[in-house]
Amino acid sequence: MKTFWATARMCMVEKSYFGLGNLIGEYLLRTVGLMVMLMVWRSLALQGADMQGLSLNQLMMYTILTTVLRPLLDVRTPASDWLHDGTVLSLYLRPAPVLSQLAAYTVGGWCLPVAIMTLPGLLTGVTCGVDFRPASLLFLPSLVLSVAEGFAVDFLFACLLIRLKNLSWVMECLRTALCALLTGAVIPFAALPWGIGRFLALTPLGTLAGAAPAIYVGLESPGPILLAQACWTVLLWPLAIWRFRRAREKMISYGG
Amino acid sequence: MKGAISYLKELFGLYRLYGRMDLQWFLQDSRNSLILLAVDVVLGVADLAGLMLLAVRFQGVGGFSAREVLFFLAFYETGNGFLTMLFCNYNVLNISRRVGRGQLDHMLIQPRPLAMQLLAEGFAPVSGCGKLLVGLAVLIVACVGLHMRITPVWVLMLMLYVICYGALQIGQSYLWGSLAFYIPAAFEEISSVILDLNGAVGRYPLAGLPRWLAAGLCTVLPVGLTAYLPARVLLGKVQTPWQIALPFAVAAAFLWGAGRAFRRGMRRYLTHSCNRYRDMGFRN
Repeated sequence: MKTFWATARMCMVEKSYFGLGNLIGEYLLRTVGLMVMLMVWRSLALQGADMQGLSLNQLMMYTILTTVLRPLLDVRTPASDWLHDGTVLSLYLRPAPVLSQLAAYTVGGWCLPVAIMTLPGLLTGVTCGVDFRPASLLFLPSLVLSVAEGFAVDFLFACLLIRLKNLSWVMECLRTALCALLTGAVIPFAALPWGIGRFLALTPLGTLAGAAPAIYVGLESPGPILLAQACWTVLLWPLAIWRFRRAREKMISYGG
Repeated sequence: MKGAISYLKELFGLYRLYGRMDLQWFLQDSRNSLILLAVDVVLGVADLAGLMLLAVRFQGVGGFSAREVLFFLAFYETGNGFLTMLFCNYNVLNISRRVGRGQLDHMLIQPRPLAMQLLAEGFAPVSGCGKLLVGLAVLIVACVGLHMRITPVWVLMLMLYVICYGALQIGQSYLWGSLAFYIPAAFEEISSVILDLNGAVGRYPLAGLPRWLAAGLCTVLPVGLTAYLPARVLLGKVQTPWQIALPFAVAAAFLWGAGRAFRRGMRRYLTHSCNRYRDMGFRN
């Protein structure tokens, strides 16, 4: 574990190498995105829409949580980038498992984004009068399972990238679009029409970003969600390890 | 006049060249090209789906009915597709990347004016048309659903607003992207951030906002003028002349500011350059 945390610490420091200008853009983007979604919920409440059991407080808190905890809820290891630019080769020269190094690097990268987003998230919530008390403490195990499952899903995406011979930009776009819609990262499943949210909430992608926040704010009952998350984690991890082992012989990198 | 004609002739010659190169890529690497096109279509649909689903569930959002939301989103997607088709290749739109990476050097040794290269290089009529096709298809569906009366003037307004969408995005990207002339590494991604910001906010109606915020989103960060206000005009919800003209005025102002900032940055670039590549090809 010493090597794991040393790598994580290295990555944490590395995130600030390019200065405030490089950092601020992403957070500005996320803060504005957060405000826009809050405005959408507010405008729905103002227009007197039938919220069908959803309270404004729940929707706002859900949006704040998904924004602040985004790096944990939508796990992105550097695997795809490093496959593209050749950095992945150096991982094989180090005395630690490749997946473990990728995980360590990712965990280190979480500290700064979560720390920086927490304050604007909390301030926005307080300004909007959001009550931050959790509906259930079971959101904590759900968050842990989300992260575990997120790593497995990310490694599977990396395997797909290897198979598609490095269409990394295309994959990144596709993944971002699908994750925004199918993981509940932007819109809670409970707010989707025709009951499709009930189905999506139990899928591998659906149990990632939306699960823990939905339990926190009380939009979903914890039992089925936790069970689905545990099942997908148990299923996806061996699959990811197996596929990654098989795919490594087919890796192609450009470098530069 | 003669100079302008030969400039345009050369420019359209370049468009033809880049168009042919794009088509050749499609023909020679059909598998990857088709994957790219399919992904563009999925992206286009995903862009529209979130807000549309909300509008269906709550019978409208932000002062738009569900059908009007579809029109608004279709307009957004058409503008986005148009911009993507014209400027998506070679980071022409994300100009801070090329500036911040010192890649303008590659352009300065070409025997063509820089502006002409920037206008032509990004053109991808085959690989970059996915979003435009989705946008136009949904736009037609939305117009039929709303029983809209399509007149030549309306079509002209639609085309002008689509061009205005592109001008607003380019203006912002180049204005902010000029910062990369001064602090290359830190601002290498600033254009992408600005464009992403426009994408993230521009897809939502701005009704229900406090006045000061709505004013900011229609001037300083004009995301409200890219799709929201034009969609309201095209739907006949806004008819005051100053509101109809506002997107064009702000787009012109941004293009003017971007031109000035970029030229000023170029003067610095010509004396300082931006050397971020090591001998082995990696970037610092």
